[in-house]
Amino acid sequence: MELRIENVSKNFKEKKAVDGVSLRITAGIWGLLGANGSGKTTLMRIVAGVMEPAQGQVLYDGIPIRTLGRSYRDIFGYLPQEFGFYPEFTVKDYLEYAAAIKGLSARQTKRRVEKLLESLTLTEVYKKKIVRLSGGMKRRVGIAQALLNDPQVLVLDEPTSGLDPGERIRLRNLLSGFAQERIVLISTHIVSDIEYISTRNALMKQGKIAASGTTEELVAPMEGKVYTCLVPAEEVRYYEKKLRIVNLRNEEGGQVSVRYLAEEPGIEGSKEAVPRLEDLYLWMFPADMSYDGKGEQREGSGK
Amino acid sequence: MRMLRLELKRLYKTRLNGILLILSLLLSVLFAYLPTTWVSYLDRDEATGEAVWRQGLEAVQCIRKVRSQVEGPVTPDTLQKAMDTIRPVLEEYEAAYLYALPSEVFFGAPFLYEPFYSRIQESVMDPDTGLAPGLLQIDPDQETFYLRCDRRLEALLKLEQGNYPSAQAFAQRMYEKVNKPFSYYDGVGTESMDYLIILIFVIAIFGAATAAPAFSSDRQTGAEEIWRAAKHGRLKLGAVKLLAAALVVGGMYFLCTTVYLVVCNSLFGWKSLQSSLQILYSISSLPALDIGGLEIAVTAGGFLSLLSLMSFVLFLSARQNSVASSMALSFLACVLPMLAAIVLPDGIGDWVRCLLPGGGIGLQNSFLYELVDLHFLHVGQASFWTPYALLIAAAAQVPLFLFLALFSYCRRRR
Repeated sequence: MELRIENVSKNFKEKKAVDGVSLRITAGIWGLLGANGSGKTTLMRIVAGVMEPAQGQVLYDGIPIRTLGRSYRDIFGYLPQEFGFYPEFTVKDYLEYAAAIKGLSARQTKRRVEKLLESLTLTEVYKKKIVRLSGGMKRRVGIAQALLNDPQVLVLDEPTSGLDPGERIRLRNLLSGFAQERIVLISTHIVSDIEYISTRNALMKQGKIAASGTTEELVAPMEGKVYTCLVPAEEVRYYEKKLRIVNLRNEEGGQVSVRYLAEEPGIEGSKEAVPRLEDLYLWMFPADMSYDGKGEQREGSGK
Repeated sequence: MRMLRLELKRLYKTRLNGILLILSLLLSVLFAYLPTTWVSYLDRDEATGEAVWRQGLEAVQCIRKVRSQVEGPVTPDTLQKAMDTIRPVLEEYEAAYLYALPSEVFFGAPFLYEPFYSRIQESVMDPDTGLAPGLLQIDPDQETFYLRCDRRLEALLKLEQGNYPSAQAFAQRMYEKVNKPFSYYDGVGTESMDYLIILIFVIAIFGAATAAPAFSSDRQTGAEEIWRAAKHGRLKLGAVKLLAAALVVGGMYFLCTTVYLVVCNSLFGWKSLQSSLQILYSISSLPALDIGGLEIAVTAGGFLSLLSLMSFVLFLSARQNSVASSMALSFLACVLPMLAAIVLPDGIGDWVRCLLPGGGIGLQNSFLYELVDLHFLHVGQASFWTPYALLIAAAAQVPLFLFLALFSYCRRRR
C-alpha cells in the first residue's frame, strides 16, 4: 500500500501554496508538520481529491487517484480542518447520512456507528443535536464520520483542535491501533499530537517539504543544538532576547530552567539535551516561538 | 433510495423549510378564503321585506341561489332576456351603465344577468378603437351574439396581429374548438384566479428559499469537503440533492395548490367549474376550457414554470460559495420575469419574460394571463402563442439547468 505524491504544485493567484512536493507515503501514521500557511491543508485537500493540483499528481498503488475516482474515495476517510455539519441533525442522523454517502448498507452503518460511538465515547450524546455539543465532541463526531467506512487511507487535518488532553490521548491511541496496514496522514502544528505515534513525519515550509523521515532521523541534525541551563529568574528577559528559548520552567530558589536552541551553548554551564521533534519544529519555524511573529529577526537566531 | 430518504429527512428537519411549509399551507387557506370577503349582496329580509346587506360567505350563498335561475348554456335566448331586462331599467333611471343604477335596483333583475352584460358589450366593441358602447346603444337582438364573437376575434386579430397571418390562422383554428354556446354557473370568479397566481408566486419565493442553500450551504460550512471525498459524494449526492429539492418544492406546490383549489371551489361551488372561461374573462379568449380546466391548466403550467425556476435556482446554488449570495440571486430570479414584463417594451419584453426561468410565475406575467389574453411571439413570419412558448421554454430549461447544476457541482474545485 502506497500513496505517492509526485511533484505536486498549487498556486492561489501569485502565492505558491504547494511548490513541487513529492512524497512517498507508506502504511503507518504520517505526521505532516508545518506552521500556519505552510501549505499543509492545500496538500491534504489535493490528497483527498477535493482539489486539483496545478501540476503533478497523486497516485494510490501506482494509479492516479483521479483515474481511480470513486474506488479511491471508497477506501478514503477525510476530516477537513473545518468540520461542516448540519445543525438540525443529531449525531445519529449525521452519521447515518454520512454512512449513506460513503456507500455503507444499513446493517454496516449500524455496526460501524455503534463501534465508533463507543471508541470515541460519543454513546451518551448519540441523540443530541450536533450544534449543542462542545467543540471537542463535534470534532470527535467529525473523526467518527472519517472512520465510518473503515478507510485504508485516512487523512485528518488538525484532528485534535478543540480536544482536551484526555481526548487527545484517546484519539492518539485509537489512531495507533487503527493504523495497522493503513495509511494515516495527520496534518498538525501541534507536535506532541504525532511525536510518539507517527511512523514517519514530513515538515512543510513555504509550500515545500523541508524534511521527512522518522522522528529519530529528523531530530538527528538537532544533536548538539538543544541545551538546558538553570538561570536566575531576573535574567530570563535578557536571555529571551538573546536566545531561541523553547521552554521555561520555574525551579526552587528563584531559578528558572531554560531549554533553548543554538549552534553553540549560549549560557555558561549549559548542558546538551536530547532533541525532540518539537525542537526541530521550532528550529525550522522560529516565527512560531514569538507572540509577535517576529522570531526570525531575533538576535541569536539558530540559522 | 436510502440517500434520497436521508436527504429528504434533512430537508424536512431544517427549521426554515418546516416554517415555510406551514406558512404556505396557511396562506393557501387564507388566499382561498379572501375573495369571499369582497362579495356583498343586497337582499330582502323575507319576514320584514327590508333591504339587508349580506357579506362574505352569506352573500356568496345568496348570489348562487339567485343566479341558479340563469345557470346552464348561455343561449341567444338567455342573452335576449338579459337585454330585455336591462333596457327598461336603464331607461327608467336614465343610466348608461349598470354601476350608475341605485343598489336596490341593481340587485334586482339586472343583477341576475349581470355576468352577461360585459360580454355582450365586448361583442360589439369598435373594431378600431376597442371601445364598448353603452348597453342602450346596443342592438337588442341577440340572435347573432356568437357570430359577433367570431367577428370580434377577427377584428382583434387584425388590430393586434395584422402583420402575422400565421398568428391569425392559429388563433382562428383554436377558437373554432371553443364550445358554443358558452356555459355559465355562478361561483369561482377572476379574484379567486388572481389569488391562485399570487399563491403560486409565493410558493415560488418559498421554494427558492428552500432550494437556494442546496449546494451553497455545504460549501459555506465546509461539509462539501467531506462529501466530495466520499464514495457517492459527487454525482450521486448531487443528483439526490437535486431530486430531493425538487420533491420538497414540488410537494409543497402540489399540497398548497390542492388545498387552495379544494377550499376555493368548496366555498364558491364546484358547479361553477363548468362555466366557460370566455364568460369569466373575454369572449375572444382562445382556449376551449371551462373554469375547472383553466384551474388545472394554470396549476400545471405554473408547476412547469416552478420547476424551471427551481432548476435555475439549484444551478445558482451549485455556483455560489455562500447561502446569502445564492438566496439573493434566487430571489432576483423569481422577480426577473415580472420586472421584464413591467420595464421592457411589449415585443422584447414578451420574449424575455417567456424565455426566463419561471416566466409563467409572477403578478404581471402569469400563465393565466397568457391563456386568457391574445399574445404571440414572432420570429419573422412565424408566430408562437405565448402559453405554448412558456411551456416549451420551461420544459427545455428544466433538464438544461438540472444538468448544469449537476455538472457545476461535480466539477467544482475551490
